[in-house]
Amino acid sequence: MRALWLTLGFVSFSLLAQDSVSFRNDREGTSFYSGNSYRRNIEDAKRDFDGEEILTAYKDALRSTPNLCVYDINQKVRTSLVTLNRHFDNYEGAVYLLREQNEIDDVAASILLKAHKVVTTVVYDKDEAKLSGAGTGEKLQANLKLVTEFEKKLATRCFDEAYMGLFSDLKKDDKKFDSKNLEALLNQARKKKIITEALYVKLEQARINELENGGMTLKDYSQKLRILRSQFPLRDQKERSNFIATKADKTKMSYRQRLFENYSEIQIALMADMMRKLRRRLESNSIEIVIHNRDQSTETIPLEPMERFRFAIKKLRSEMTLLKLNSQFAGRSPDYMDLIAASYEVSFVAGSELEQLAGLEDIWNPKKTFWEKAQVWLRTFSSVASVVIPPPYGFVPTLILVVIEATVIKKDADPEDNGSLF
Amino acid sequence: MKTTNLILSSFLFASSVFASEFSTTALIRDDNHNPKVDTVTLTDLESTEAFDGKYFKIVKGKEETAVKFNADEQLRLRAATTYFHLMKARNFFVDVVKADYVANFPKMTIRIEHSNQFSELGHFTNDAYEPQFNNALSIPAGRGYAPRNVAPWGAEIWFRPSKKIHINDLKVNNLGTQEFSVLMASFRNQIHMQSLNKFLTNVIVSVTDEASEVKPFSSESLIRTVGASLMLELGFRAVDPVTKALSRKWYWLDTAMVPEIIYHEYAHIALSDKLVLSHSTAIIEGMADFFAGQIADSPTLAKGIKQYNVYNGKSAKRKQNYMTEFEMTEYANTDFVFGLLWEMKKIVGEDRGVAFMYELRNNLTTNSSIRNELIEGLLKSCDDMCSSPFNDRISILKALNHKGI
Ligand SMILES: [Zn+2]
Repeated sequence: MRALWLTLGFVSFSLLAQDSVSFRNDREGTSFYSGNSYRRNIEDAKRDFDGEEILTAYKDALRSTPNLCVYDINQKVRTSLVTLNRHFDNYEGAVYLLREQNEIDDVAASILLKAHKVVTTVVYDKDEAKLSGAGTGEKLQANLKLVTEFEKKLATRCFDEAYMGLFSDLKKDDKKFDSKNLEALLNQARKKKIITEALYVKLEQARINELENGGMTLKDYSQKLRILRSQFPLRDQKERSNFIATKADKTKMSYRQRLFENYSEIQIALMADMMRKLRRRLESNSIEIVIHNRDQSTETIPLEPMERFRFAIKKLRSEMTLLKLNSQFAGRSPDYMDLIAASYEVSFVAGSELEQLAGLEDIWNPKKTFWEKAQVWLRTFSSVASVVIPPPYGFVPTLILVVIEATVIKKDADPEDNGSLF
Repeated sequence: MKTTNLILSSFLFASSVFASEFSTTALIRDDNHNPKVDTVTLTDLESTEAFDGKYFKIVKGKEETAVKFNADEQLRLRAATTYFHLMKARNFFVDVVKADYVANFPKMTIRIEHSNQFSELGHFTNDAYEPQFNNALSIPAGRGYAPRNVAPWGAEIWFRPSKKIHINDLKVNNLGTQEFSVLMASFRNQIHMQSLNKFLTNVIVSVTDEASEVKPFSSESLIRTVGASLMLELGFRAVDPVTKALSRKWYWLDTAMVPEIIYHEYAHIALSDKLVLSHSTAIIEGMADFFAGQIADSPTLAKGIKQYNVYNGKSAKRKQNYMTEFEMTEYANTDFVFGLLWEMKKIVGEDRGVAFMYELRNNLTTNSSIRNELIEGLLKSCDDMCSSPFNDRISILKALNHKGI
């Protein structure tokens, strides 16, 4: 399996050159960008253009940008649209609309939007007193030279790659070189007029948006998609999931966006495989433990149904922990939701099963239950329970109070042993 | 044969099986689950003067002739009530559950005001031998015993006479000064008690009526007794619409007058192709209670079960959580199974829940345990009948896990 993957990694480069690149949505249900806050942009885009115009502009840009440089694609689309409508300034709306038409998915949309955000970031004048670390003497001269060579890089590379190239060049001789230093350096270059005002702004926009930290490019995404789709053809071309397009906890991304942003295709395949195993175990009607005794005899212990259920979950938990030791993950431990998104991405798990599987997390990571939330209330009432129950209460409330009393008093009791192995 | 003869004979044939109807009064539930005596129509009667129909014949005690419509009012009311609710239960199994076994079940004899104990050989024990009260049970068919003139009998349901006991006559820990409702709640908390009768037998130290040597709670050599405490509490509450005011201090269970108990006993019959009548386990009682609850279709009951289930959560040690002791007959907790099945029905869907539970009996035996066969049965039935088996199975497993199984 792994050998296969490694070779695939190489094959994929040659695939990139093909002109059939597409980011059409084939997995997501209702878009991450479909809420009310996006609605207005979409309506504006629909008003300014007919749907075909935006689509044509995008398709032309994609076709004429074989390296899939998102900055170039964005620029081409914008130019086309401005030609059609001089007042056009709603690029987000155009992207949301492309997504709504399923011409792109949320992951591609997020890449387009992020690049658009970079080039529209407002760059303010600097308080020079606060700038430092551009270097001095020869060091400064060398760094300024690197900055002036940026345009040469840009001729052959996409803007984000060129910027990352510049940054790593600057770090080569100074490991501690950081964004603050670059800010000062760019300011010097601007003052000395060795770069144009336009280039200064571009580089500042990249710096402010921390492009030096990388991030998934359209090319990356295209590559991941190509490999996953060729290795794991979709079982149901029409299947869509709303669940994976919803917002992941503590992020500004959907589960699927987070998956592609954070993981390689190999990692996605490995995570999906874990869920496939979990799914099979959950479906199994027989799980047995076989003990091979030293006298060559064997003892077979069949698990009870609830033991099978908890075994399946516990086994997944332990496998997730062990994933850290897998060289492909290099110490990272994926979130359970990442596994679920991965399993759906490669059709190991049906979209209709995702929410149910996601709910299993409650078992090892229980959210606050009604019961826990009610504790305060219950304590208040428990003292009443031991007093005479007032007449309006029927016996059902009486019972409840009795139960509450019993519960609150015993809340620190040992966990019950229900006689199960797992 | 001449045409006229043919017509005439078929007419005669038709009229001989023609089932007549009869309007009379019986105890039913009103919309608030309170009992009331109201006019009902009894259907499928074969007699025009007695409670003798195509499917049920209501008799008093050991008699074999049906109770007459003009019998003593107390007897008539009980006969009418049992007949009416048995027909309702049968119709449910035939029309809603679509149970062929029930549709083809032979006509049954139903005994009310019947205090003799059951004997596998002789049908009834001697009249003087520990008469039974405040209970109901279903008995399996028997081959009879010719040497002693015991005729073969089919499956029957027996309703015991009620017998009133004042709470002051019971030394029930410190509950003696309170009401039976408190006692009931206390009963439910005693998870290791299978039936109310056993519970009461255990808590009763003395009964004043010693002169008559009648023990109102003598524990029957139990084949089975009326169902879960959830069901019983409802029955208890509604026992006597006339003397309701007194009922807070009095206990009795007039089983022939409690619709839910009638449904429960009939459910045993309906399930008896797989779950034989000679056994009683938490699962069997829970199944019978489930169908009784479905037939009763009472929001009050549903609310009671929901509350029972809600307070059956995972945290803390609660008695309603699963315990291994539930598997043993002596400690069986029928409420647990009842509540569990009720919850399962919600998972598999209200539309198919009843058929699901009836199918479930095929995967159960009298030896089934909750933790093994019942769960395997639920999972297997789900494979066959759930709308999305994978998801529904996980919902089932999660719910069971939550119950501490
Ligand atoms: Zn029963």
